[in-house]
Amino acid sequence: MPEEEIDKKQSADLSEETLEIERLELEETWAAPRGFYGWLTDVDHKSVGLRTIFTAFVFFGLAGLLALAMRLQLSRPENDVLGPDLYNQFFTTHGSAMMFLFAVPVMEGMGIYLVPLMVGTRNMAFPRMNLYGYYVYLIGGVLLFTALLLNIGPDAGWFSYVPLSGPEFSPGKRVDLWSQMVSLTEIAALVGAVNIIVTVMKQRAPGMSLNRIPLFVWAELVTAFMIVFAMPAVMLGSTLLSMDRLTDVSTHFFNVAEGGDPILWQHLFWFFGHPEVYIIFVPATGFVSQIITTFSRRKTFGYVALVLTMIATGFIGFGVWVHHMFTTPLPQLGQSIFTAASMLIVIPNGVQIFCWLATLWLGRLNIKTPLLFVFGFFAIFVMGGLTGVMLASVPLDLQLHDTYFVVAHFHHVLIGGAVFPLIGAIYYWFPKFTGRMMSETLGKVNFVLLFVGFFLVFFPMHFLGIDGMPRRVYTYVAEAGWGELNLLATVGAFTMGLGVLVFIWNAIDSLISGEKAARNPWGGDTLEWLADSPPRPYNFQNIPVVQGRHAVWERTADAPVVTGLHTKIREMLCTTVHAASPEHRYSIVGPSIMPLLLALVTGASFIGFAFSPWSIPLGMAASFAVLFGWFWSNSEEHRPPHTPEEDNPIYEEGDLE
Amino acid sequence: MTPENALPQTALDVSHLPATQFDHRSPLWWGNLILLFIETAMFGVMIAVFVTTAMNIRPFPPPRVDRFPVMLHSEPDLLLPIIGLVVLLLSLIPGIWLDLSARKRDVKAVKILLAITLIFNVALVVIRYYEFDSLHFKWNDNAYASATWMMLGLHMFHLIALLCEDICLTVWLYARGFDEKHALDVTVAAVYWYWIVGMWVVLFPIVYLVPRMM
Repeated sequence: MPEEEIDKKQSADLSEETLEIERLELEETWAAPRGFYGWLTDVDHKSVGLRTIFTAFVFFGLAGLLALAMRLQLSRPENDVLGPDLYNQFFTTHGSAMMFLFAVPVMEGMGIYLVPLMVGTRNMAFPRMNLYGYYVYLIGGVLLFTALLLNIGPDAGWFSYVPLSGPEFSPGKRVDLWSQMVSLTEIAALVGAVNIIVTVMKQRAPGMSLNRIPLFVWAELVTAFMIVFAMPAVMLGSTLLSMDRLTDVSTHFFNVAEGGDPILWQHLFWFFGHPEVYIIFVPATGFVSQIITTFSRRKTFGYVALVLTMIATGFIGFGVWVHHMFTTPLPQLGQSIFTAASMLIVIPNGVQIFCWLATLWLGRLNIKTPLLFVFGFFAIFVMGGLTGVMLASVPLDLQLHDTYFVVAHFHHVLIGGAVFPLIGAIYYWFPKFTGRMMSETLGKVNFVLLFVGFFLVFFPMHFLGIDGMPRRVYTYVAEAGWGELNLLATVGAFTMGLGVLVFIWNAIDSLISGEKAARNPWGGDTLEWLADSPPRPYNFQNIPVVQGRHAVWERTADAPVVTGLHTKIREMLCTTVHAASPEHRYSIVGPSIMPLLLALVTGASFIGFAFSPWSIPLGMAASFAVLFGWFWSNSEEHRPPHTPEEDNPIYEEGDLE
Repeated sequence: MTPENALPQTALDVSHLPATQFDHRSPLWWGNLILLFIETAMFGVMIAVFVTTAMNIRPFPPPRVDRFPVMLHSEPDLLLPIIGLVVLLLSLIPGIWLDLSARKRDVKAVKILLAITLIFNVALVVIRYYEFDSLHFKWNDNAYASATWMMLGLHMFHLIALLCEDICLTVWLYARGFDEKHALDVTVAAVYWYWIVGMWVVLFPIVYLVPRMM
């Protein structure tokens, strides 16, 4: 296109005709590329976010089916639905998929979709990296389930303790593929975290100072920082494990005979593993805060307290990992410290719960499906939290370690604390995602089935654990007397399965024939509700200026909007970190095939590492080739005719400033 | 609350703002910084791994008895590692100079200095490659050897990554000229450079001096 055309910026003239012309220009500039190839290259954060959420729910469904198979096997003593080996593969894949392929990615996917909208910008800071992260995650997920289908699914538990998972006791490639899946999904998580942090730091709409950031965005920010510091431990750990296992390498990190240490693996794993729980839970508290505020129709009670408790959870979350290891030989002082820290984390969580209760108490409740799921969250999560306090005490933990009591505890925390708010959040934001409302009636059926089903499955497990039923056994004898409660749990599991089916049916049916959604169907307070439902590719025609903590509610009739950004190139606004005052314009690049290519190279070299160490140098060389292409195309897109010359001047010798 | 489809009435014009900014004003700088947080965490974990193996093995470092000549004191040699450290520290001079020249948009200086840092970079990778010989152990001799190799290897990975980044920048600069966006790129790559040097200042005593002190 001719240069004078790209020089055109949004004008300060806000007449209807000018706005219409600029709207058409934005539509053209930000349009999603067409066709299947175009779809592979689309870097719109909404597209990447929805793909991530959808993929995560597919893995959730598959891992849920594995759970149903396990419940069938356990429904009566000495059952023979699954043999011991298949059972081992099923529970390992169930746990690994739920944690690595569902919980973390879905929370990040919600962040990738919602954060740019909530902070009032057009895309993430690094859109191509964002797409790369998705593909790497997808490859990791497909790897795990392909392995299971080929009967080489991991079978050493989702935390793969050595020496069981070491070369001596787990020959074959099962654990190797597991550890490559871990590395791949953690790369994806880290890429997403970097993107979310930078987007929140630099791209907030003018006026959205730190003390006005929506609580969900705070939650995603805290989570992203936790990912940054937690994931490296497991990535390094799983790399060390695969190096120990690989015949041509055979390092000795976890080999006692040569000075290695199996307990080291537990430290590496849980230094990631416990923060992981909060990485899943903190975004869910973000959902809860947004949903409660909207459906209480009043300002959030204790905004500052809620932000501080999230940050406190982030910090304390890194100081509790050893409570997973109370049955290993620990110094007594260590036990006391980690018991104290594990109990300490109840304080910020308790403060949060009371802030939410106060908001509900003082509000005018509008009881819709999202709020029902939040009520479910309260009931289940608080119980899970209380059993958590019990397990933080060493003497009790020594008795209950590796029993069904622990299974009951963490399913209360994870399903209550994360899945219930998540499903509530899907009901809440579905109109924004798709432009259609989900059915309220089916939503209520969905809630009741999940809520009742949940208690049938997991409440009896407390008693099974106290009765001494160990985790990870594929069957038990009738004389143990665990038959009835296990049967009850199986009935509950199928009730929950029915609930999930109703949810899927509701989503599909609403997508096709749901009631059309307005921009702000629930009367929400955050900026995404100012965008169309579903939002245009550029999110906002003019970036809004934020005037208060509840951006939509506090918006005055004469609220200013941002003008002066380019409409013919993908340009966004960067603001200062604290006050969010306008700082500079920031242009980003558009669709590209490079993210997919790099993800394929990454995937091939990581999976190859399960078989040969040479995949690493080869992978590095291939990555460099792709990255060079990536760098070159990025650089060209910042030159005319893609970018106006004055925005990226070329300096000559003697042009000294 | 405004009605949903009301036209905006007042404008906050940002057209006069610059299109690129250095340092903490730039998203790229932040992205790089967070990446370095990740990598710092990675090295932190690696140090913990090293300390664990060092505490497990007695005597430490373990005598090398499976090969001839037998070595009762198997501390790593220091000559080449010290040369490597000095070269790494010296590389800061062109590194910082390059950073400053890019900010001044001094094209001539940037072109020359980028070539010099590239030479330093290649030299560092070569020195590191031979540094593994100073350890007296292969990676699969014992857990201490595994941890040391891993630590050196991870840091070498960053030297190679920086080399790749520098190659990209140099090729672009000589082929397509020095523009504002790449001035920013050079300053961000400089942060990565400083971090690599700083990280080695922490790792060097752990890898090479701790075994001598025990």
